[in-house]
This record gives sequence, C-alpha cells and structure tokens, in this order.
Amino acid sequence: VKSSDPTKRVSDQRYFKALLHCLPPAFRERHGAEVLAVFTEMRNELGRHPGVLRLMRFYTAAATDVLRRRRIERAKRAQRSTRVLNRGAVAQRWLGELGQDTVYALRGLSRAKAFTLIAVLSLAVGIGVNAGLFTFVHATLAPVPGVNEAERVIEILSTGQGAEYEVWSYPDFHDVRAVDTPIEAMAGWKSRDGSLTTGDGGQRVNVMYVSSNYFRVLGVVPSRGRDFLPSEDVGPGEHPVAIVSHAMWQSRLAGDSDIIGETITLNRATYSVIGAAPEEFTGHRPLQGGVDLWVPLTQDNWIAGENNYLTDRGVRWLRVLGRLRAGATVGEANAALQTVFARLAREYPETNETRAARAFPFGSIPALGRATSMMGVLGLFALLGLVLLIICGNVTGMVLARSASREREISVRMALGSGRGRLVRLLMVEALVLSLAGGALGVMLAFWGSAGLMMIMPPMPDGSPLNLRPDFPILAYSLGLTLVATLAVGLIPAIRFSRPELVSSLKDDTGGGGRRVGRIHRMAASAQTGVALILLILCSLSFRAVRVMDRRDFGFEPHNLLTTRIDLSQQGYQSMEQAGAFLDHVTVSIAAIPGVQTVSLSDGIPLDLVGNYTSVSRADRPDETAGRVLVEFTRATEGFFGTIGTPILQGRGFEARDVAASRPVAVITRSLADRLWPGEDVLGRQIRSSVSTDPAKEFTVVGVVGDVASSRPTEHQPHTFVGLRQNYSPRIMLLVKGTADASVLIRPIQAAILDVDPRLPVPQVITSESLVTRSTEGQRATAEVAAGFGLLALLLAGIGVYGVVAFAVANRRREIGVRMALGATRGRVLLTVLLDAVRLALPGLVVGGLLAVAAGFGMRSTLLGVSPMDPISFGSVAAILLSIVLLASLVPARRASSIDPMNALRSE
Amino acid sequence: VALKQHWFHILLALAAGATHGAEIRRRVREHTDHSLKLYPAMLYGSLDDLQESGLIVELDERSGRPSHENERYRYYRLTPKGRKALAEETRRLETVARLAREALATGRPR
Repeated sequence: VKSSDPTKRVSDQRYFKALLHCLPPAFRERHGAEVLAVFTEMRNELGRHPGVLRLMRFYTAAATDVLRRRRIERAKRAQRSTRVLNRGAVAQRWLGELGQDTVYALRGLSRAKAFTLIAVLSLAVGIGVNAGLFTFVHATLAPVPGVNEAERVIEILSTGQGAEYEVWSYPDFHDVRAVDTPIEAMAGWKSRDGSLTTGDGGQRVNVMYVSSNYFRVLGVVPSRGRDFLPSEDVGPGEHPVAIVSHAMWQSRLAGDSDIIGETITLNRATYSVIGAAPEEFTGHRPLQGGVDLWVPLTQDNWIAGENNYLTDRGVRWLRVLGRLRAGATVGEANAALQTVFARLAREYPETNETRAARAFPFGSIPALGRATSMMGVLGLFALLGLVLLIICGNVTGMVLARSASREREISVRMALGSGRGRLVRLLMVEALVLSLAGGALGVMLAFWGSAGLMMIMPPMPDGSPLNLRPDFPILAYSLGLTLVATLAVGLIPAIRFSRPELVSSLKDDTGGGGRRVGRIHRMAASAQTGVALILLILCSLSFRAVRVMDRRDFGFEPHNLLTTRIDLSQQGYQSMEQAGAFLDHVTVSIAAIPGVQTVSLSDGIPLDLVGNYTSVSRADRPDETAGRVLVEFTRATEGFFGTIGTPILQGRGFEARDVAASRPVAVITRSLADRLWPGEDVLGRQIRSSVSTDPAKEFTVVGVVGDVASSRPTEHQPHTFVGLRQNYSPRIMLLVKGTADASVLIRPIQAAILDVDPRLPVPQVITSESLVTRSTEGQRATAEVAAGFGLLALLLAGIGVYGVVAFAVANRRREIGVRMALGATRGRVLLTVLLDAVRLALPGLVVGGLLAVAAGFGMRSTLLGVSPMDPISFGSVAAILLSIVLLASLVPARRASSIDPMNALRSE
Repeated sequence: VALKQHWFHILLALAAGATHGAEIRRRVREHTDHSLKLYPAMLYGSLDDLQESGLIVELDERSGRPSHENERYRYYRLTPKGRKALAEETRRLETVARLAREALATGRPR
C-alpha cells in the first residue's frame, strides 16, 4: 500500500483499522478485509477532495456504525451463553466442558494428595458402614428360601395379659385347629437338641418336632421320599418316622440315594427315614441355624411320654405356624382366633382366662419382637446416617478450607471468563469425584465388613445362610448415598462461590456468610472430639476391668485343667443309681490315661458362666432371715478340690464314702464360714439349705476351703459345695488335671468317654483357661467395640478439627500477615492457631467427660472395682485427644506461621 | 411482523442473484436511489444475522461462485426461506401501500 495511491490514503486506512478493533475478534476474522474494502470504497465515493464537513460526517457515521454493531455483538454473546438455540449443540458443549472439568478436578485432586486421601477414606468409611448395614439388613429380610406362597403363611403367637408369647399348650393348639377358620391349616413345632447315634458314634443334631402338616403349611415338598401323613400324628412312638435335611443326607448320611427306609437312632429311639427336605429349605428360621431332622412331635418320648406335654393345657411349649385360605387376610384370621379363644377361656377358665392368640405375617424375622428389632434397625440406620452426615460435614470443611486458599485461582478463572455456573459445576464435579471414589471403596468395605460381621454372629452353622453378594438394591443404595454425599460436600462451597458478594466476603477476615457456617462447623468438630472422648474412656475402663480380672486370685488353678460337659439326661441316666456305674467307669478309664494327674466330677467350676444359686442359714437358727446368705453352690465328688487346686483349710473334701445313704455333707468357703460362725470352729456344724428343687435339708459342714471366684466374673458370692453323689444332676462336668500340657489329653478323654457309652454325642473338651478367658468376654467385647468406634470417632474428630482450623487459617491470612508485619513471631502465630484449636475442642471434651463419668457409673457393676472416674483412663484419653487435636491443627498452623506478611498483604 | 428495513433491502439485493457484501451495498444504494446507506459493520453483521436466521447462506467454492471475482470475498445467496420472507414482506408492503392509497384517496380518515 503506497501513500501515493489515491484510493487508499494511509490516514483513512489507520482510522478504519482502529474502528475495526472495536469489534470482537471473531467478527474481524470473518469480515475484516471486506469491511475495510467497503469503507475504502465509500470513502472514494466521496471524491478525491471532499469538503471537511462531509468528510467529518462520513467519519462519524462510520464510527457510529461500528459502535452500533459492537453493542449488538455483545448482546448476542451474552444471549448465546444462556439461550438454547440448538439443544444438541448446547448439550454437546456442556458435556465437553464437563469432561474438561472432570480432567481439571482429577488434576487438582491428584495435586492435593493428603486432602484427597483423607476425604476419600472418610467418605468410604461413612458410605461403607451404611452400605454394610443395608447389605446385612437386606439379606436378613430376604424371603425364607424354600417356602412357597409365603404371603399365605402366618405365625400365630399366644397372648396373655397384654404380652405376647411364642408358645402354646398342645390342647389349645389341638382345639383351635379343629375349628373351621380362615386359617386353612395350623402346624405346631418345637426345636430341641438331640443326640443322633450313627455307625461312628454320636452327634449333636438340631431336631425339629413338628405336627405332620408342617411341610404342607410352608408349601414345602420333600425332594425325596414322602411327607409325613396325618396318621403319624398319633403316638407316642407308634410311627417312628423322620425327614432329614439335604445337608444331613449329603454329609452325615453319605448322600445314599436309598436313604429312604434307613433307620437312625435319635435319643435312644429308632426312627426310619421317609424323606429328605429340598436343598434350599433348612427350616423356616434359617437365621437361627439349619434343622437336621424333622420328627412328628407325637413320636418323641420326651414330649409325648415322660412329660405329658400333649395333654396338659397349662404347659405352654409349642410354637405355631398357619396357612391362610386363598384370599383370606391376617385380620380375618385374628377375628376368628379371638372367637375361638373366647370360647376356650369360658371352658377352661383356670388355664385360659386371659389367653388369646394373634396372627402375624411370616418372615425371616420371628414375629415375636419383630417390631422391636425393626426399631433397633431403624435406630442403627439413623445412627450410621448421622455418622455419614458428620463425615460429609468434615469433608465440606476441608473443601471450604481448600477453596478459601484457592481464592486466587478462582478469581483468576473468573477473570478469564469462566462463568459462575461453570465454577459451581467444577466444585460439584470435584465433590462427585471424591464421593464416587469414596463410594466405590465404601462398597468394598461394606462387603468385607458384613462378611466379618457374619463371622462374629454366634450361631451360623454349615455355611452362612445369608446372601451377602453385591446385588442391584445394594449398589443402588450405595449410589444413592454417594449422590447424597456429593450434594452435602459440594453444595455449600458451590453456593458460597456462586454468589459474588460471598466471594468478596471471603476476602474479608470477618466474612459475613462464612460466620454461620463456621460456627456450626466448630460445634460439630467439638462434639466429635467429645464423642471420641466418651468412647475411648469406656474402652479404657473396660480394658482395665479385664486386666484387673485377669490378675486377681481366682481361688483355683486353671492351668492344665480340662473340663468336659456331659449331659446324661438323654441317655437314661436319670438318677445316681443309673449313672453311678457309668461315672465310676469313666473316671477309672480316664485316670488310667498317661499324663492325667487327677480326675474328678462336678456340675461346674468357678468362672464357667453357669452357676447354681441358693440360700443357706445355720441349722440352729433356721428362721433368722438376717442369717440367710445367698450362696452359689456346686456339686462335686472326691478329689474335686485337689483337681481344681483350691486349698482345703480345715477338715476334708468329698470322699467316696459320701453317698446317698450317708449323712449329707457340705464344704464351705472361708468367707461363708466367717459370715455364719464368726470366729468359731465350723467343722461338724449344720447348715440348712435346699439344693435345686429339693426341699431344704441339713448338711453337716465337713470342710472349709479357700474362697473361689463366682461363676460370673462380676459377682462375689460365698460358695457352698455339696456331694454330687448325694445330690445327683445329670448335667455333669468332668474335670481332668494333666501333669503337663493338657491339650494332648483331649482326644484320649473323648475316646474314653465314648468307649464307656458310644451313644453319647462326641463330648467337647475345653481347657479351663479358655473358660476363664471366655468369662470376661463381655467386658472384652465392650472394650473392643468401644475401641473400634472410639478410633473411628478419633479419626473423624481429627479430620473435623483439621477442616475447621485449616479453614480459619485460610480465611485469616491477611490478619496473620498484619500481625506478623507488626512484629508477631512465627512461634507466636503457631501458638495462637494451636490454642484456637484447643479452645475449639474444649467444650466438647468437657461435656464428653461429664457424659463419660455418667456412663461409667451406669456400667459400674461390670467394671470390677475400677472406678468409673478412674484418673488413669481419664487422664490418658484426654491427653490422646488433645494431642490429636494439636496434631490435626499442626499442618494449618505451620501454614499460618510460614505466611510471608508482604505476600499475604499484597495478595489481598 | 415487519422485516427490518435493511434486512429487506439486503434480501432484495440478493434476489437479483448471489453476490458478496460490497456488491450488495452497491445494489441497495442503486435501488434505494442513494437514500439507504449501508455502512459495512452493520452490513456484514446483518449478513451474519440473516444467515443465523436461515434466510441466506454463504456459498462455498464448489457451489459455483464466480471464479473471476475476488477470492477473499464471501458470496451469499437467498435460501427458499429467505425468498419466502421477501415475498411475504412484499405482500405486506403492498397491503400497506394499498391502505395508504385508499386513505389518501378519501381525503381524510373516517
């Protein structure tokens, strides 16, 4: 372009180009050259030398034109960002930006490793415990496998004087069944341990005694053989038939396909197997352990023979299931039951005056107490929901602290044209990424956790009956929790930054909007330290109680002592005459085993958690109620005190001559002797007492032994020992003292017992030491549970305090900068922040401490002499918590003390 | 709804055949007898707006824009929708013109 070219004067071109720069770059890009060309053309149309006035008018019009278009372009851009011109394109752009945000969030999170780790782990714990509970409840509430048309099955409870009971008397059951009601059929059942004798010895089996229609009421058809027949309800002992479970058939009876017709021996009676239950059906209460055998209840000698349970209307022992007629409702069944029971009450006022019955829908949770357990479950859900909420609160605190320190970055992004919506979305995406990671980890935790829970749940025989595999409802629930967590974690920071005045208030040290959030945060963090304090103090108290218990003098020597409980009631040893020979035989053959020092018999030992109780008084003062002493009593035979290692202080222990025919003798502990005859000689004196259900009688004191621990570790009762041979009980305990390691004696002892009576179930031989350990299990469990929750609470409290202090430091950057500029040292700043953290935690710790004292007094009875205000527990736990608080605030405190005052002031 | 005046004239100019912005300005200047001056920012802005509304389209090389003309120029032509809009506006103007003539013929409004 030459200045001499008449059509393109340099000054004009400069002017047009300057005008062009008022328009947005996109417009310049598209049309710049053409616009310049047209301007030039229009200028040339004015002629080579137009008048100054015309030229000025043209220049003004050109500028007006550009500025007008500029205004329109701006309006169009503003509109474009909100208007949905083309949904597809907008959605696409939105998704594209979402992808960018995700990448950006991931990059940001991976840069803040500690933050991400803590946030994800705490969300994982929060979501995990909730998903775990849901998994467990979901599996528990699953329909009982094998039951058909479960909606027609009902459980019928017996009610009396406003209370509900499971058990009926057989005559009531019989009478109600005979009436035509909306209940098509009613089945009775009773489950009990039995002793099954097979080729290779005895087994303990779970027997269910049922009416013959039990399977039909539940809609279960035996997979092999046939069902019970109504004619088999007639007994006793006329139709000895049994149906075995699939597991029993497969494992214990070797899966013979021709098991039908085999005979089995149950509790000394012979039954022939007529069928096997389908594999999926393990009884109608699978959660309480699978049933091994079903037998008509009229066939059992214990029910139908000895005890007359079938005819006594006052004895209630039978549980009842029912099947509704097609289309009938539980309400109709209840109305009919009411009528029938009203009639029974009139006919049998003595037994039935206040009795009635009530039907409930059948489910895996027994109807009795179902409402209570559901309330408990709801309570747990609420509790764990609260835990998740607290965790979300903590993570929100951390996110806020992070956002506050990212203020510069955020303002730069906004200055570069990032819309507020975009910013909110970025924060939400960040929260979503955190929650999803936490949720995924949490679901894994949940499955491990519920598997672990399964293992500590007591009676879970032969593989867990609960299905704990991840399935759709559980994953959906967890995803729901994750989204809730996302909203909880992302929303508050997002709202703060979506409002410009709040962004600017952030810069303000006393920030208006931040104040309220801050105060709730501080209270929550404080409360968390308090909860952690309570749990850890309870944990410490329980552990100290366990240690006190382990160290105290039991009064006997559990080392190398083996115990074996044998229940002789099923084998016909109902009296000493019947059992005597067996017991002598067993004692002699075990004593002959190499390594056995002594053998003795009793019905229990200290700390076995069973215990019999009675009261004794001096025989010469039987009426003196004040002289009555509540004691624990134990039946024992010769050699008992030597075997358990309790010293005989005066007189003698039991001897073989103390038999039923001789005079009843007793051995008492020193504390009882001191109570009854303080300072006097007690040998030969008489005490009066009743042993179990026998009438009270006199016993001659023949010996005094050292004090022994009670059956339960939390009790302290004097002890009386009476002769087992003089006061027989079929539930005996065999005690064997070994010379060295007693565990090698377990198999020989089992063999010796079965050798004498092969019909007995394989006896369980337990070391006395494990019994002693088991006796403090309650305290140990309390301590462990408190420890587990305490550590969780400690972790949460630490995170909570960290979030609050970090946020405060981030918000107070300028103030701290000013202080430092005015001469505050780094140490001073560090101290200020740490003191602030302590001040934050203090109210929670004080309230928590008071509550812990109250809780300690509440459980004083299990603390075995450890004071509920135990200074060691309180001191150490308070120290732990304070150090956690200090530790959690150390990172932000160091950050605060490393603030460069010039930098902090300039950056604001 | 009335079409914006300069939109109408741009469409009218394009009705005579596809062309570029500078030529459109010339045609408008001719058929309005110099009474409507289209300054370039508004002219090219309007071309963008008309294109967004689907009344005109830009020609690409293949759809036969004259090769002898300046290659930097963007060429536009009417779309069927644009032609329809122009026709409608013409009808509207005719109606307006007829009403105006009648009003003038009766001397004064009733």
